[in-house]
Amino acid sequence: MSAAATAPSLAPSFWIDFEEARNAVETIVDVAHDDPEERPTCIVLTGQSGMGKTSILREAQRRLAEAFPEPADWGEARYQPVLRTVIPSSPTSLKINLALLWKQGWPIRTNTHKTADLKVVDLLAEQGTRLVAIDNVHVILTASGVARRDTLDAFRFLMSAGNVPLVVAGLDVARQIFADDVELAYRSIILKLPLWEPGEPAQRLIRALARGMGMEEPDHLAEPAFAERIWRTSGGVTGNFKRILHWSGKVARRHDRRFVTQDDITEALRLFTPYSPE
Amino acid sequence: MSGREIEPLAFRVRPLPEECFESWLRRLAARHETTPKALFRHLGIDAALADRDLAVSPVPATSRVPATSRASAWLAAPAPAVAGVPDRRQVMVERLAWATMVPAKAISRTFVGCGRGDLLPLTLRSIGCAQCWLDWLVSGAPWRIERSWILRVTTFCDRHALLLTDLAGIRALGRTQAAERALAARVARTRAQMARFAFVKTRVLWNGMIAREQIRGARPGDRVGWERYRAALVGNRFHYAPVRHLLLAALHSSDGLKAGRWEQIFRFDAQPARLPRKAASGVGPQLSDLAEAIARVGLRQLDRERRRLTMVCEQLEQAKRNYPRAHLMQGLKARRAALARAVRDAAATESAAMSAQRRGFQEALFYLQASGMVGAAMSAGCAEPACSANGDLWRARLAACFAAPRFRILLDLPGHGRGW
Repeated sequence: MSAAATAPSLAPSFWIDFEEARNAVETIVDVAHDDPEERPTCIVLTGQSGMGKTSILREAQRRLAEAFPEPADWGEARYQPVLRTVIPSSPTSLKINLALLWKQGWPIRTNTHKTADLKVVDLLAEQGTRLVAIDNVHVILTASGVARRDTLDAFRFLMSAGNVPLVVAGLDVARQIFADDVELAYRSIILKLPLWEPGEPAQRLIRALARGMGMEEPDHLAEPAFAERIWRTSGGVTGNFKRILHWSGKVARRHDRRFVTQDDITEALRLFTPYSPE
Repeated sequence: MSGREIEPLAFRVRPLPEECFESWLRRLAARHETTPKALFRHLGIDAALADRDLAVSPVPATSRVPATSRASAWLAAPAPAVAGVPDRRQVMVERLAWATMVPAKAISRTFVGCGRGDLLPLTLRSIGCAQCWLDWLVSGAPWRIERSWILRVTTFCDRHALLLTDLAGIRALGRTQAAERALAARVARTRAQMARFAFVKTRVLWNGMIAREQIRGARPGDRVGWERYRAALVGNRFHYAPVRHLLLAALHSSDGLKAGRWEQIFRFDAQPARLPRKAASGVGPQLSDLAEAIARVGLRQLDRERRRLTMVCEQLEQAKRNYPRAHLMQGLKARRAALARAVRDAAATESAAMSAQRRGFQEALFYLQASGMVGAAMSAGCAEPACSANGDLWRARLAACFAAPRFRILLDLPGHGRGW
């Protein structure tokens, strides 16, 4: 049996229903359920890279798609209750609108830029969109002052004219984005994903990840000796937990071992060193 | 954006029943405010395909093409896909189906089964039923071109039995009230034109049957004259004529003479059996024939115009020649009228003066009689020849009358006293 064939999957296709993540998802879903007449809210979802922000957005999208199925008499417009996109590099208002238009399935032409913002808003209404989610929003901080201002204007227009709540996800520094814009700041809810604490929370995570990745004996990996080492190496970042488990499982398979040992973890860490915020 | 993952289109425009592929593609592109070419580019489909004739089914139809049409193989459907390499058009259908979330089968149903040679040229694929368009406009349904309407053979609308006409001009008006009025007028005009023809029912039925078989891609039956009839409709160039619908109507009417005349102009490849004239075998119609026919029509119109202008010119020449005499006559007439007017005025003035004088005398006489100063003798005296001849006598008598105080009072002359 080849090791690769039985290696635990790294695909982020499973959702770990932890309280921290669940709270974030439920907040987003609740906001999307708000009456459209109410003043739309902006949710700022922050956390270290690999903490699962994108997974949270994806899960919220899935739940909203279930909660708002396409009505039977829906017209010919594509039905899209959640519009999710990643912010483009060197963002400006136009770039964000074009990215949204692309996601909405609108062909981009040379003259699209003239009415891109209005068209996005039109399509939000026509496609029954209840929530707009924009990932990697910390990229805005790399833009110049004018461009940053322009981008924030685009967000405000999107929420006001489109009458939809907005979720922006990014690194912790993303909280500073709205520092210059008091209006947006007052309309925002900050959701921070904290790093995993050692002990029981880390053990809980390891167990859930190992189960989700189809590894043998998940409880064995959650033992304090393993859990402490994995937590320390990962720096409390969910993605690093996942990567260490994945590579350790690979090494164990390579040595025809059913269970991951400390040696496997050591060897796996030699193959790659996860970045730790600390 | 080309490097990004393509998303399904914003609007899921579905092909409508019997709609042809190009009509649906045009509607789809218009719904996204773009052109078919730009839409293909957006969806990662070979954009060059947008310039091609896409009405024919991408599935090879060589087995369905009748023997007579095989000679023009280039007109038929594209070559079958090489084993393992999907046909570009097949890819296009699948991509469009995915992008619009419409089953590929629904898109495939928009194609026609016949060869391209049986279809109208791309520029004429706006020919359709004005009544259908009017109904769709009123009901809010989108305008479209049906599969049978793009066939060269199709003459009538199945639903309304109305001759098909070119609706390009009406489409340009957009879905406006002006378009509605134009469509209503078109329907009325076409119906009026149709009333001039006595249609042969069997020919009309035959026409519909051939159209349906062409759409299905089935091989036409072996009935006598079938192929010749089909070729007569397909092989001719009258489709470019603005009065195409009338030509087709003539061909399906009992007026053989009229049909024959049309054929003479447009040189049918094959003719209905009942017509005496037949084109020389092996000689197909050329583009120059059409040009010649159109030129003849143009020459006739020019000749008519020339005749009209010549007549006007002659009238103007005649007027120029007659001008001095007419001018003199007019002057004389005016002077005569002025003189007559002057004479009338002078006579009127004189007559007024005379009548005033006469009235003065009469009044004086009346007052004299009323005051008793003159009696009947006086009046009678006036009739005396001596009195009328001798003015002095008459004046003396009057002076005596005027001298009387009562008369002076009556006429309010000085010296009568204010007493009474």
